[in-house]
Amino acid sequence: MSILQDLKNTVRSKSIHVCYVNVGSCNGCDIEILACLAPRYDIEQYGIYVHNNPREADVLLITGAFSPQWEDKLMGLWEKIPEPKVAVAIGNCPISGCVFNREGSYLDPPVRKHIPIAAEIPGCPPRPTEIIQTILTLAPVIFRDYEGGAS
Amino acid sequence: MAEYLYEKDLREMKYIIITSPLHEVVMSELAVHYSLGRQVLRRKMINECDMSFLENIPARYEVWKAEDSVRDPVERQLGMRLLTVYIPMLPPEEMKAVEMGVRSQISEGIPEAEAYESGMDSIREMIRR
Amino acid sequence: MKRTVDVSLPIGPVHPVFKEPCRIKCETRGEYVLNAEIELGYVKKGIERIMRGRPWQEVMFLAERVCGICSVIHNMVFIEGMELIAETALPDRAAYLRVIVNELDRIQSHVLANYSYCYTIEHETLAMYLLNLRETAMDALERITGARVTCAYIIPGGVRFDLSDADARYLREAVDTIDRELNRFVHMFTTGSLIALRSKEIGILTRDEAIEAHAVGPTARASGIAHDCRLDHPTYRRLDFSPVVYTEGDNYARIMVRFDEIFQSTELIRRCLDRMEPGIIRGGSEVIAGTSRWVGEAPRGELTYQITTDEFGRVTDIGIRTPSIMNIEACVHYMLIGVLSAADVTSTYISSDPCIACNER
Ligand code: SF4
Repeated sequence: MSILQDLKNTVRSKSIHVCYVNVGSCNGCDIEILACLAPRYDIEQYGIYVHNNPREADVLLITGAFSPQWEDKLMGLWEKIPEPKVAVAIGNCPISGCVFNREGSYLDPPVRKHIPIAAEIPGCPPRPTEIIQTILTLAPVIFRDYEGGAS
Repeated sequence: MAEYLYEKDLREMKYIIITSPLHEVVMSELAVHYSLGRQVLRRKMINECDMSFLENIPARYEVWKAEDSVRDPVERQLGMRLLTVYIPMLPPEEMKAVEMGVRSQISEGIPEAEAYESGMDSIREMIRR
Repeated sequence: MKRTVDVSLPIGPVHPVFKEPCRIKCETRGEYVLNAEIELGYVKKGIERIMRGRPWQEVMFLAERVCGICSVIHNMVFIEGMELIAETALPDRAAYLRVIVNELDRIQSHVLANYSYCYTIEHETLAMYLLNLRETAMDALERITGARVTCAYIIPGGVRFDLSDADARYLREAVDTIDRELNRFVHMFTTGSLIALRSKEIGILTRDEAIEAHAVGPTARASGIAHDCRLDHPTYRRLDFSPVVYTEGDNYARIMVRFDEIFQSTELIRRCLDRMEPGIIRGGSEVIAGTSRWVGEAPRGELTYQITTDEFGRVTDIGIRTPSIMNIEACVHYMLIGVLSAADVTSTYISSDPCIACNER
C-alpha cells in the first residue's frame, strides 16, 4: 500500500460518519445513542458525526431485533452505504433477541443472519460511553487496509 | 392490482395489527352487532383504512360509544357515524341514504325492528362488497 | 371514503430527523400537503402475544420494554394493575417514591421530545442545551434506581430501593438545576422570532378533531382539552395540581405544554420530598385470579393496561393501549393536512412526540 493511501486512511479514520437504524427495538438503545450526542459525552469531539444518512455513513449502528418489514429493506440500506463500512449491533436485541426472542413474537433475531456485523455491544441498553468506545476502537480497524476510493 | 414502484403489499402487516387483543374485543362486539363474520369485517377494514387508523380502532370505538349521538336509537342501531367517521369503512353518502330510508320507514309506521333489519341488511351488503 | 394516498412525497423509513423508523406518505400539490398516510410495522414485536401465559415476574420486564423512553410509567401501570387485582396496600413512602421516579422520567422524556423538535427546525444550539439538561435528570434517575433506562424500580407492593437523605439532597439540587436552566431555555424559545415563524400556526389540531381521534396527553392539552389521567391517580390527587392547557393547538403550543409540564414535574417532586415520612417501602400480598383495567398518564398521554391473571399469578390475557397510537393518528390525519411545506411535515410530525416502538408494541 502506498504512503499516500496510508495517509488517506489515517485521515479518514479521524472523521467517521454514523447512521443508526432501528429494526424493531424498544427505543431504549436508540435514546442511549442520542445521549451520546449530548455535550456531556460529546461524540463529535472524537470526530464522529451522527448524520443518520446511509449514503455518507461509515458505521451503521443497528438496534433492535429484526422485524419482518425490514426483510427487503435492511439489505438495501446496507448496500447504499459506500465502502468501507461496518455494522455494529447495539444492545441485546440484535445479538440474541433479548426478551423478545420468545414463542409468539414476530421477530427474527439475530441480525447477523441478515447482514454482516463487525462488533456487538451487549447490554439492555448499553451505556453511552460503551457505545462511543466501541466506535472509537473500530475506527482504525475499518480503514487500516482499505485500498479503494482513490479519487 | 396496480404495480407499485416502492410499495409493498401491506395486507399481512395490517392483519397483524388488527388481530391484537384490544382489537379483538372491538371486532367481536361489531361482529355480534352486525351479525357478520370477523374475517369479513377485517377484510373491509384492511382495504379501506391505513395503518394508523387500524391501530387506533379501539380508541375511536370508545369515543363513539361515549358520544352524544349514540343516544339516538337509529344511530345506536346502525352506527352511521361509527362506520363513516370513526372507522371510515363506508362512503358517507350511501350511509346517509340508508339512514334516510330507515327513518322514513319508521315514520311510515313500519315496526322499528323490521326497519332496522332492512337497514342492517344494506349495511351488511356494503361491507361485504 | 377510501383513504389510500397517491404518494408523491415519501418520507422515511430512515430519515435524518426520525428517531424511529416509520414512513409518512404524503400526497402533495407543489409542497402543499393534501393528504397523508403512515406506514408502520417496522418495529412490530408482538409483545402482547409474548406476554400471554407468562408469570407476572416475567411480564413485568416485558412491560417495561414496550417503550424505552417512558419505561417507568409502563412498569408503574402494569404493577398497579396487578396490585388492583391482588388488593395490595401501598406504603405511603413507596407511593411518593413512585411519583418521584415517574416525574423524573416525564422530565427526561419531555426534554427529549423538545430536543427533537428544536433539532428538526434546525435550532441546534437550543437542542444541544436541552439534551445536556436531560443528563441531569438521567443522573438523578440513575442515582435513585440504579439504571438509566429500563430500571424496573417499581415492584408489587412498593419500590426497590429507599431514598437516603443524601439522595434526597442530591435530588433537590438536581430539580433546582433543571428549573434554573430550563427557565433560560424557555426564554430563548419564546423570544426567538425565527422559532415562532417555524412553529406558530403550523400543524393545527382543533379541539373537535382532537376529540374525534381521541388525542391524549400534551397533544390534546395543547388543543384545549383539560384532561390528565394523573388527576385520577390516588397519590397525585393528594399533591393537588392542575393540568397545563393551551388552546392554540399548533406546534408552538405543543412544545410549550411540554416545557410547562417540566416545571410542574419539578414542583411535584419537591412536594413529594417535603411530604415524605420515613417508613417501610414495601408491603405485599398474594396474587389471585382477576381482571383489572388501570390507566396512567405517560409522558405522551393516557396509557391503559387491561390485565387478566389466573390464581398462579400468570397473565392469561393482556391488552395495552399506548398514547402514541392516538397521537400519531391525530397527527397524520389532521395536523399534516394543509401543511404548507415539506420541511413543516417533519417538524409537525415530531411536535406530536411520536413513539413508534410503543405504538406498535
Ligand atoms: S437491548 Fe434492551 S433496551 Fe435495547 S432495544 Fe433491546 S430491549 Fe430495548
